[in-house]
Amino acid sequence: MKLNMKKILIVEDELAYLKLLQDQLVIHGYQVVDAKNGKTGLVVAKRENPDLIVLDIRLPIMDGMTMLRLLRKEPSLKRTKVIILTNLEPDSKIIDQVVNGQPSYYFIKSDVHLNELLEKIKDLLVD
Amino acid sequence: MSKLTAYLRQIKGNFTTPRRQHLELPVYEQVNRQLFETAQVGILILDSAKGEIIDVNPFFVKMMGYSRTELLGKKIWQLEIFQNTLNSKYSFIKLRNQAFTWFRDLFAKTKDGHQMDVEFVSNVYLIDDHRVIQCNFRDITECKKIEESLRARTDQLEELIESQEMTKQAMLNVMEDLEEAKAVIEFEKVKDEAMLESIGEGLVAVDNKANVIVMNKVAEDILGYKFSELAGKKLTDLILEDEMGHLINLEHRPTTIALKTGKSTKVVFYYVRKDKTRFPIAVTATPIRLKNKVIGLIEIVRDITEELAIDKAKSEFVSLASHQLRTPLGIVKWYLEALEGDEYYIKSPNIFKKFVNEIHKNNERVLSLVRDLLSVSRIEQGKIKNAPTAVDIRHMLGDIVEQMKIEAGEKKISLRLKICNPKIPVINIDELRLHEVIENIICNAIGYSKDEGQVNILVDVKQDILIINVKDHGIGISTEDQQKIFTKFFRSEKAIGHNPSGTGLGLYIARSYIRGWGGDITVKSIEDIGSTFTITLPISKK
Repeated sequence: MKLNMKKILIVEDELAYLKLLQDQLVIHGYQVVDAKNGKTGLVVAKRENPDLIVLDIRLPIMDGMTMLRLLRKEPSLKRTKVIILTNLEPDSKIIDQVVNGQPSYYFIKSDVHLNELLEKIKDLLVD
Repeated sequence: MSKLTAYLRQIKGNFTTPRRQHLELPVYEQVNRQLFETAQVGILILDSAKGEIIDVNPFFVKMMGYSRTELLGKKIWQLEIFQNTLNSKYSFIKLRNQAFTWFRDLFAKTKDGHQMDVEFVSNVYLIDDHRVIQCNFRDITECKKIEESLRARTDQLEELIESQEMTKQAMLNVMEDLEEAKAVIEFEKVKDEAMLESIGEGLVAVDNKANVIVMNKVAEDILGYKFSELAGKKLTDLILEDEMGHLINLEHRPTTIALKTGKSTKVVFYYVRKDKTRFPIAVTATPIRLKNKVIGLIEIVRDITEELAIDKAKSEFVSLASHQLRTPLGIVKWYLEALEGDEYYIKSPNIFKKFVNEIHKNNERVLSLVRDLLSVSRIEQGKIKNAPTAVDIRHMLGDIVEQMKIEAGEKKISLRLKICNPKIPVINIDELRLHEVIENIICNAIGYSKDEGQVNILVDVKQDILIINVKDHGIGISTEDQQKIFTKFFRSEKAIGHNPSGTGLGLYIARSYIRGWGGDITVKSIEDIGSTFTITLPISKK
């Protein structure tokens, strides 16, 4: 494993999404860790200190927005880049939190193309 | 010598010395003569043949002012005394032809021109074969005057009585009109009240100072005040807030705006009750105009909690449905894109197969979701088509269990069907939908079971009720969530964690169908131990 390899945490309960994204990111040379709910996601984030988190909103046990809020309270994770990847239409509460929880980005899963997403991740992780 | 001749001789010869000569007459005649001389009535004796006056009594002389000499021998119609009835020969003839005449309307004029009313009585009788007419005259001027005044008085009284009658009648008419008007007003009042009360919405009327003047029962219920508490008080004293709980300023209140602008004003705010609880309220304030001047407002108030809840439920439904659809469609999209864009996947047949399988699975998910959404839509519109046929439950359950064994086998779950009562009847029911419901419940039982678990299906009949129990040893449902699992789109977090692809519609549809058949579905569950779903269906007797 290269030292400069960027680490990405995917928090996703839908296995089909998780597996594909994981595969794609690995192919593109990223190190990938995953969690299937917000609570685990928070634990893994603290432990792994990823460069980027891809976060779903609708998750069991702890939803993505709660995880984001708690994440921003951790000094080490305050500035971690977060891509929210969900099928939920954002309401005003979510938008507020995305704006306040920067740097974070919002994508609708069914609207974004896989390539676009990979491009975005690449852009965000350029030093 | 005839009596008349004697009589006439008497008169002619002895008028100046009457008393003495009278004594020579028979007593009867003397009495008569006495009466004649002293009567307080004027008397003329006429010769019936010629109409000449042959005698006149002193009272007549006194009464009319003519001397005896002036009168004797004159024909009665030639006298200037009588103004109307006796002033012609013809009238005398009439007099002569009647044995008795009486009238009261004779006008007489005295010698000095004085007019008087006279009562006239005439009697015709024979004296020695001579017809004479005795005429009596009585001055009835005073009498007539009294009579006249009496009549006038009577007329007055009659008029008075009549006018009183009229007044009374008029009063009665007025009273009647008033009663009618009162009845109309009463009716209007009752009608207004009934209208006020029958409006399903709260109605408050205020004057141009925003003081409450009318309020119906619904408004009382909505606002939490009795009319008696608010009457005459300012409607603007009640508390309105915005969604964030900020007080609405006086100038932004619908009452103020409508009174100021004279335009109908509609707003939605939150109304704060006496007990500080609040609810969304729609207020429409419409000005009442009199001669183009705003004299007050009618305000319609409506508690829109339910409307907002329905709105919210609708948008949540759309949002959840679109989210549920997006998930599998997004997966299909990404897998297709991955297959298109990367040779890596094409070259590996295993991965290719895996991807196609994923696409297929998620496409099925979309289809099943669309099917469920359609079912929900039909349920909510009451458009479920019921096509009952005779269904052998035992047979149907056997089929379903056989079919599901493959799925159960993947998780090494043993699926058992136990018929507790050998007399399971054939029931009349929509077979397709019952199949769908039972399959769904068993599918859930398998889906939420731990690997190598057990799913038992028990069938029984008790008192004409078919009971199907589906018991698993799975993740279970918390007591709190047991209340919610039959509602649309609800999925417990545990269920999402265990199987993210459920639609959250299956149990809602199942319960809707079963209740439609007159049965029910209930659940008993302990978390991490397992759940038992019980379906009861009435067995219709034929």
